[in-house]
Amino acid sequence: MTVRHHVSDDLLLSYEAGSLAEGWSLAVATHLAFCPQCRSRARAASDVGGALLEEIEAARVDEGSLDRVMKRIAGTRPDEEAGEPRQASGATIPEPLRSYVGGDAGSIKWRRLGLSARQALIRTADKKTSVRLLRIPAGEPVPQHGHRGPELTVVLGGALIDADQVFRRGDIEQADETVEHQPTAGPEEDCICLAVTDAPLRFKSLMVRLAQPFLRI
Amino acid sequence: MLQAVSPLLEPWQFGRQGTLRGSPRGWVVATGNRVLKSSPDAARIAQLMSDCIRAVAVSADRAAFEELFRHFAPRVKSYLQRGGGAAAAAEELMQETMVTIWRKAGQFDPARSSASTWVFTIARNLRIDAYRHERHPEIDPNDPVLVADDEPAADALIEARQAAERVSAALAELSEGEQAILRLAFFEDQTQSAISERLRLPLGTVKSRMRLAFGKLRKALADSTGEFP
Repeated sequence: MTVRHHVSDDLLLSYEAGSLAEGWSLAVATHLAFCPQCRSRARAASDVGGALLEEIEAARVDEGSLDRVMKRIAGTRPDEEAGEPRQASGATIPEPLRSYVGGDAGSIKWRRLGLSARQALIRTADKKTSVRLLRIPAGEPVPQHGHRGPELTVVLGGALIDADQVFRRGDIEQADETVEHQPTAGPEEDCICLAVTDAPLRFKSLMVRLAQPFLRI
Repeated sequence: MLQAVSPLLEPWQFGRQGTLRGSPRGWVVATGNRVLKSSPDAARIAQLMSDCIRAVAVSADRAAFEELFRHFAPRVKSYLQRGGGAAAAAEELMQETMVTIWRKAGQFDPARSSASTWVFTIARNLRIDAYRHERHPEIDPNDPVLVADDEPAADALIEARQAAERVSAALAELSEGEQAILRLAFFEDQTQSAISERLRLPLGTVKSRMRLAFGKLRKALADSTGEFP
């Protein structure tokens, strides 16, 4: 499997800096699970944090700070070292997303979104983003929408076709308020993807717009 | 004993007067708002810190942990204060970070990251949890669903530390404006939109400067490994 659509540098830096809200970070981390290439770039981005930490102007620690920490670790040993990679489990959703879903694909509780699409909301601790899984039936379009803010989509299964671009498992799509698009699920199978937004989507169809408050999309 | 783990130690790095408390030959290079070029001593400190974390992991070495504390505690506290924490909160969270370093030392992989990068990620995650009450979602390197790295990690041990050194050196070459943006993102927990407001720059400019800065850092890495990841 080769991922073709990657995380942009500025997003990756913000992720490693820790300044990205949890919802966006979940999309980035999910892509990273699929993409060794971006993981290597992510390591360079976290090295920026390490380098800046080395150069930071040191603060004065409290008197007795070291003693208190030594007291806290007294009589304890570090945790056991990490073991070998776990054996294949047949799961299809990678961590960290699997933990957020509460299990693998089988444990997703789908709800209707429009006529045939399905969605499952994912809870995060940040209040800025809405995070959801979408299931778009094979060959069908995602209702056409524009954005009031950015949107990150990571394909987990099937394919998403957007204009002349095809997004497959592991690919990430970054859209923003300048994009009005109508992605379509590939013809072979349903498309399952993780979608993160920070503002309600602008749907063209009045029917969908009227239903938006109930769909929480 | 740590000495056995690290033959690189010099007298000033150990012994009663020799702890990393002081500033021998100017290895504390942080001044003002400009990142300075790292010195050869910085490379030795990096090696020492890496060895100290391994010594904690392998033999619960308290002397090694003290060295880690002396080097990292003042930096981590400073980092936590810049992220918006009051001094008392930063002190408490710094102590929590140090205890976490002790506890998780076995997870540190010198082939994957430098000591300071590893410590940074621990402090960062605790800060996100404490100040924003959020998590920092991360891959699980042992997850069977994870798509594995293609390249075998031959010589990776040297590479991880060298990569960190190169990033550090390239960082010093960035313009003040680029460094300022990185510092706001990494230290002050500012989102791209917040940075754009703070610096009165269009959001697109903030993004493109981040990309440009990161491009230069990656170029510095590529010049050493021959690949441009």
